[in-house]
Amino acid sequence: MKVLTEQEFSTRPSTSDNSYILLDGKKTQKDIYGAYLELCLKVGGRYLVFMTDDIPGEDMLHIHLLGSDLHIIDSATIGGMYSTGSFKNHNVKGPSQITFNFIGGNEWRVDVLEDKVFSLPFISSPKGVSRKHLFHQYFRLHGNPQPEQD
Amino acid sequence: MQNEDQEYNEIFEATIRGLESEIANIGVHATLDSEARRAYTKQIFAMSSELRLNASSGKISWLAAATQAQDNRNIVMEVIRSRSTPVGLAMAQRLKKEGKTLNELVATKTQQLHGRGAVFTGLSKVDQNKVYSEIVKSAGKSNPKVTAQMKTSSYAGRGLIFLSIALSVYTVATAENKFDAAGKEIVITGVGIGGGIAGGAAAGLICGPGAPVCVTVGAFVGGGLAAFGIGMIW
Repeated sequence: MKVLTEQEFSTRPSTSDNSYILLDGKKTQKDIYGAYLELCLKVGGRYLVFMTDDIPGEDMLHIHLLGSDLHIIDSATIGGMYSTGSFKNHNVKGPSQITFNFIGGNEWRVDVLEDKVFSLPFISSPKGVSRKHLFHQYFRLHGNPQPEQD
Repeated sequence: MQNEDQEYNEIFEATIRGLESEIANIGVHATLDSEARRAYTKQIFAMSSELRLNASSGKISWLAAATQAQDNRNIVMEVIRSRSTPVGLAMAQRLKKEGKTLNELVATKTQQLHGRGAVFTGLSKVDQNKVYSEIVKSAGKSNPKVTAQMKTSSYAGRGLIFLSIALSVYTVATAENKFDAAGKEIVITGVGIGGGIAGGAAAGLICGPGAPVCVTVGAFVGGGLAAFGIGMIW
């Protein structure tokens, strides 16, 4: 896993909630969900992209795994209504693993898989996570988010 | 034998009424939470617009506007949460918040506007004010994905309320004693909704904050039991 610089991979907002991708400073025709690029990593030939909404009061984190041609292979979103997160403390742990903090007062972990694995809707992901594909995943998302206390 | 049949009929009738009142219960829950969302979207936008106007006209500084925007948005959010149903509140409390501080927002906005390496203190006064202005502007934004989901929920909720009314109208129209049937429909539906809210709140106390599944089950059971109970007593 290699962290890419702004020169290598960046995004610019195309609509209020989507952004287009720039590779090596050149605009591409590829759009991804999210308004602000937090981090991009190269995993083999693929890209693992972390985007937020730029809505401080209700920010969500969108994690996209893109193929070498920038098509979206898999996506997941962390967050919920009337709640917000802040992407920080990211730490590359290995060739296909990264940890970070965002919401829920816990550490989140992403494991990028070589190939897709079967998953069950609602029970194969931690609380507060919604995924693009219901029955398979190309990356696993681990975390034990805590609720707010009164 | 006849008494036994009558008893079964009464239980069957009360069960059907209980289920009917659940339609109104779910519809009212969805509608109340959607209305709360609509109010939230409107109020934070109005708050942000007013602060930007005040700062633009020099009534307050841009720094003061950014600070107030942060504080006011949090206040509006708490007020709206308190106006939500127990189910809506549990959904909102499901994940512990980890929002950005004003300093973190300033750093993020500076880099958004002037590139990754930019530092706020190195900016001109005009550019610093632009950073604050963007913070005030973004404080007025609500998540469009959530708002769109709540809009769908609002339509579904209204549809269910309409269906519940239609069922009640049919029940009254086909009853022998229309006056008695109308009273019964109003009371059972009203008690079902009240029982749903109370059941959700009670489940929230038992399961703790941020347990939407438990609270939803509590609201459903509470509404059904209350309507069934009244149906049996009537």
